[in-house]
Amino acid sequence: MATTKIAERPAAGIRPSGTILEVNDLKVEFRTDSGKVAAVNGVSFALNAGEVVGIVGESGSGKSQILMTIMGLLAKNGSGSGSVKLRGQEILGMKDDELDKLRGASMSMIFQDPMTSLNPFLRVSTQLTEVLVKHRGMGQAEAMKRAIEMLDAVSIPDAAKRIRLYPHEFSGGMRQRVMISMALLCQPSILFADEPTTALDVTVQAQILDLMKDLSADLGTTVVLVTHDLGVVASLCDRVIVLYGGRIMESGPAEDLFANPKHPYTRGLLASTPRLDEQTHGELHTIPGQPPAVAKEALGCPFEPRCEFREPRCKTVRPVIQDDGSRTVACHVVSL
Amino acid sequence: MSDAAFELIHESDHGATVAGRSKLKDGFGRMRRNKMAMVGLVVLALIVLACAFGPFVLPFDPNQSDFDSISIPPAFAGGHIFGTDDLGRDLFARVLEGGRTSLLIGVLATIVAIVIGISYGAVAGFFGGAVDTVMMRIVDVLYSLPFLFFVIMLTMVLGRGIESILIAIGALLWLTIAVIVRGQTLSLKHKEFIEAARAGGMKPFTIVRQHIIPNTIGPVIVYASLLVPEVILGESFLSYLGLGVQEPQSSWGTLIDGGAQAMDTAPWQLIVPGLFLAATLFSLNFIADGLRDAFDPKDR
Repeated sequence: MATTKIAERPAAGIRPSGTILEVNDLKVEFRTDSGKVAAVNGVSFALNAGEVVGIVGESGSGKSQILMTIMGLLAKNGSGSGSVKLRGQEILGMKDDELDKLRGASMSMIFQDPMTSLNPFLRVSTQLTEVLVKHRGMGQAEAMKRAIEMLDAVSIPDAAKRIRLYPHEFSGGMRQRVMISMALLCQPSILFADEPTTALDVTVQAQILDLMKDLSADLGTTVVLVTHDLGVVASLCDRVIVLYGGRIMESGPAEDLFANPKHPYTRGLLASTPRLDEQTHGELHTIPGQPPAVAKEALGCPFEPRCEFREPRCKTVRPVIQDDGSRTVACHVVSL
Repeated sequence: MSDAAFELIHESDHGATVAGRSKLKDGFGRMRRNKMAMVGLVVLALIVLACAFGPFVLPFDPNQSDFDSISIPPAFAGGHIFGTDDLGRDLFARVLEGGRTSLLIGVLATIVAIVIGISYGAVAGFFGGAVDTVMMRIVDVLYSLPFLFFVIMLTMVLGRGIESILIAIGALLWLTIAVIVRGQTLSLKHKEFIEAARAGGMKPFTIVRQHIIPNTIGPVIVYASLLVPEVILGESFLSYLGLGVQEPQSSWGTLIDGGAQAMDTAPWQLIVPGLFLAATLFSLNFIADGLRDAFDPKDR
């Protein structure tokens, strides 16, 4: 899809394997009227250059908050602890001034709702060029040229004219393309996408996902995709992290994990996904019970109350994370 | 203000299909369909043009006494179409001259109020927390000052005249704008495009300038259009009390004051400046009404 040459550097040169982001024991807490509430309870993972990683979980599992913490965009009453290292540099608790130099340049983010992510009062051109002027010190004319190239790259027809329009003159899918082009303008090494296709209809979803995949491959960008849509993860991601109650339940290469899910929660999730090639006997499988209220921190496994394989120790003892090098799972009952 | 509005309305006619239509243009386009507002705009434009160019065209100097023609009633014959005052000065020339002062104060004080109000409100709202609390308590304190008392104090310090009026009006009128803009900012700052700007590494003041302030313009335009007549009326009121513009300079307020004193013998001295003031205020209020209808999101 991306036919225009959008990379300033050749893609071949920026395909180093190796860790660019390392998250260690990340905890996110919010101060509320009823005391401290933990949204993320000690999450650790690493991102390699150029890979596409999906973070899956239901509402309230803390998946968005992980991204917000890394980007330094937590709400005022929230605080993160642990460690987040971007290319070895600790960025958690970094001052806003310094973080501003990284945000947009080394890492950027696409939000869920393209309808509200663009400033309705500014021309698209203004919003695109401001990033380049700030991070790359480009002049207005040069920034404009680059912005048009980028819009071309995300397949917006007639980009040179369209760039003068206002956001409300674009459709939802087009706006998400604009958002993607904005996020990729400075060729960040990491792109966080927080449910980028949830607000779009299915056909547009597929186009946007293809586009993200192509662009990340062209530019060598690491993509972190947060979603609750397993179909999206399966079609796009190299690696998957399954989150529940602010903890990692299971992680591993996408194909392997979907073919052979270990954790009861992952199995439940997969069983709850409607499939065209299977007889469902009229009823969709659901996981019984409710996701945990964040206020109550479980002693054992957070999924225990809803798990059909639960044992007495699941309630009291936290399962150790089993790691075989490529896959991890946190469960007493199953083993890798 | 009205001229700028005119220009914008005109532009929307031609630029619509090519260069993208901003929400501002949309609003002015809607306003254009409001008949009363457009009549108001025309009347106001006529008054503004007359005040701006009239004194150059009229054969009479507004400050020149002609003792042969004292208190002449309005008549076309002698050239004094609106008559003269009790010092023999042409009333039409004085009304136009006074209109300059009144309109100038109205527009200047409003611009001052808008600039201070928007910056203050946007900063308070965006940064929130202690900054917000301190800034808004200052506004509360200023709000609690009685307007007239404040003006009298200022004229004692600075002397009577346009400057003290401008300062007094400008110093108090930005408060409401600041409150409006702060409220807007509070709801704007959690919008995703602000988050997106932060994710793009924009600095807080850049975000306020680039992303917050343009989005507060709609309600501010509406309020400002209500503010201009308020200021003009306030100035007239103060001048009427003798606190404002001083002789020989005139404003509609001083003219009405002078006219009120000669009401029994020469009623036109009150009626003519009164009509000009009333026509201006009516026009401004109709325009404000039209703007509100055009920019109020609830009516869309």
